Amino acid sequence: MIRESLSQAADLLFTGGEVWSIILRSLIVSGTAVLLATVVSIPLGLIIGLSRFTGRGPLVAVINTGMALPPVVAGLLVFLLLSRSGPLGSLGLLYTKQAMVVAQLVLAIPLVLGITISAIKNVPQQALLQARSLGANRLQTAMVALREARLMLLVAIIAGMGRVIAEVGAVMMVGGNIRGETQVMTTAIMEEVRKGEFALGLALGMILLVIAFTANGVMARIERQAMGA
Amino acid sequence: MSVLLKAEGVRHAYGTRRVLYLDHLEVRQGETFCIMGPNGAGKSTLVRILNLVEAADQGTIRFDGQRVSPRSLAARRRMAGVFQQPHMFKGNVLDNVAYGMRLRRRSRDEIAAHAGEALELMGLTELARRDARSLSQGEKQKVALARAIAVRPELLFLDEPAAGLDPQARGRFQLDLRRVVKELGATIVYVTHSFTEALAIGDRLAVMTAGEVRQAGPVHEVFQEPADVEAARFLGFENLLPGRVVGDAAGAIVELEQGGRVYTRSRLRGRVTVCLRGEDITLHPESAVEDISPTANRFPAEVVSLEQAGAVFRAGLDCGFMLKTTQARPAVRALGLVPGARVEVRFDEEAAHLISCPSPDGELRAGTLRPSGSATGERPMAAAAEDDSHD
Repeated sequence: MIRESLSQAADLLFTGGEVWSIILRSLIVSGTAVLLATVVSIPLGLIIGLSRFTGRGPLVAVINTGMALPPVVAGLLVFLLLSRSGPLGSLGLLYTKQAMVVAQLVLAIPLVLGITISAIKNVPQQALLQARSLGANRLQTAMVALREARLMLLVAIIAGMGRVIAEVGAVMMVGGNIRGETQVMTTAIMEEVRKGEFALGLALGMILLVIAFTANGVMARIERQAMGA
Repeated sequence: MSVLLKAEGVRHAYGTRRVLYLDHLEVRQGETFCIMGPNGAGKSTLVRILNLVEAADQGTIRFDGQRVSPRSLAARRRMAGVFQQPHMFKGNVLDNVAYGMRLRRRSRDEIAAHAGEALELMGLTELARRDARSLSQGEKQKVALARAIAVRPELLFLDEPAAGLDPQARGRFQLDLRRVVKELGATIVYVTHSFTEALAIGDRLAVMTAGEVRQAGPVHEVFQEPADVEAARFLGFENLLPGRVVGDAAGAIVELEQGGRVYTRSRLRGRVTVCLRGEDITLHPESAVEDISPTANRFPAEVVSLEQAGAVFRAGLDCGFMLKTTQARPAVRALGLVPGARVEVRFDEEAAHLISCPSPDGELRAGTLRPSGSATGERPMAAAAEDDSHD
């Protein structure tokens, strides 16, 4: 049965338009979420990483805890927020791609932010000291930190993408897994398996594995570069 | 000479560890001001605070008469610093040398001209297109110096820039540094561990221990006349002999606690510590006791220890009181120095420097960390620094 399913999965990947539309939707939803998370987290991570203020330690601890936030909890929070009786219910976003982006954003921000803070904190003090000593203002010093930490920031983005594209609980809860509308790779795999249709599930699973493998490969390469830099 | 930089009441701590306790320090326009002290004395912290890259917990810094802080960007841009571990920014040597000017948004022409001059001055023109991070440590340090001088700072901070280099590279770097200091004409604050460097290029010198400036003044004066036991110990006075002035001839005659009398040129009275460098002691065959010698400080002695320290030998001598001396190999050979050998010790009256030490445990107290004007009754070192800085 496995061999038969694999063969069907390969056929679907080469011929099935639906498979690719699910893949594309997944990439768009997760890509948008990670892009937004990056836009929010990197400046915030720079500020937190470079500043000294009261409550910084507890704040970082909260962010780090958020890195392990269960997707279903993130989904539940966003569901409550966007449900008809919730504070943002009037926007009518529940069971849309936008709701899925918001849920994945909630998952991605702590991860990208946490890694960014850690990367900025690990920038050699000598680099910042040297920049300031040569006349860098705060923004210019922050740019030095960003430049020094660039490889780890890339790791943060890839890790964020890896986390959100592979999660199922949050998107299922707020997206509803509507075929042709909000169905993404993970929710499609769940549905197909539930129906006993393993071919599509396997095809999507293979794509997810390829994405995970590529992301890990890129991260490993970046880390090697960072070690050698 | 006008004062360019003045620090007053500067205090700084990392957690509960106090690292800086400075009452007063001045750097004058155009001078090379050296700072020396043992590791952990607070020199680098002081430099970072004066360079306005780190904020002090307390105190004021005035630059060119204006009160400044790390937020004073205009003041910071009139300064530059080179640190122990040079950090190379990503890019080639030219990018690094141009970095400070780019921060100041200087024109392309100006950047090219100043960077070119700085590279030439440091002999780095050939390396301009090399990846800065691929350079050797010595080359990186030269790039760091070129990068600092390219912005034409009025005040240049050098924090042990040769510390991480091997002896050969250090020698070459110090030669470059001397040339640059001469040509730049800027005011320089130079932290160094090298007495030779401080004597060669310094105008004034501050000695720091345990976060305090023990003494500041003209380099030769500080070297020859340390203000307290702590400074003397750091400045290489190996022999610190407590005693009391019991009479005078041309100067003070000191009766040592260990026994024996030392003749000096000092005018101090009361309890003192005699400071004597090992290299100011000469050894002679014991049979020469009857020779005519201009010095009154002549003592028969027994060699109690002898050990080789690189190219020289360090000898411990018992002449009623204990002395340490450094002797070159030929002298050791000529005198047949071995433990148990008997010799005559001589040193000039000028070589014996006296430090006032009013209480019986004065030496002990001088070696402890204390705020200025402490209960020892000694002249506070920070006050001494202040007086010196008004010379």
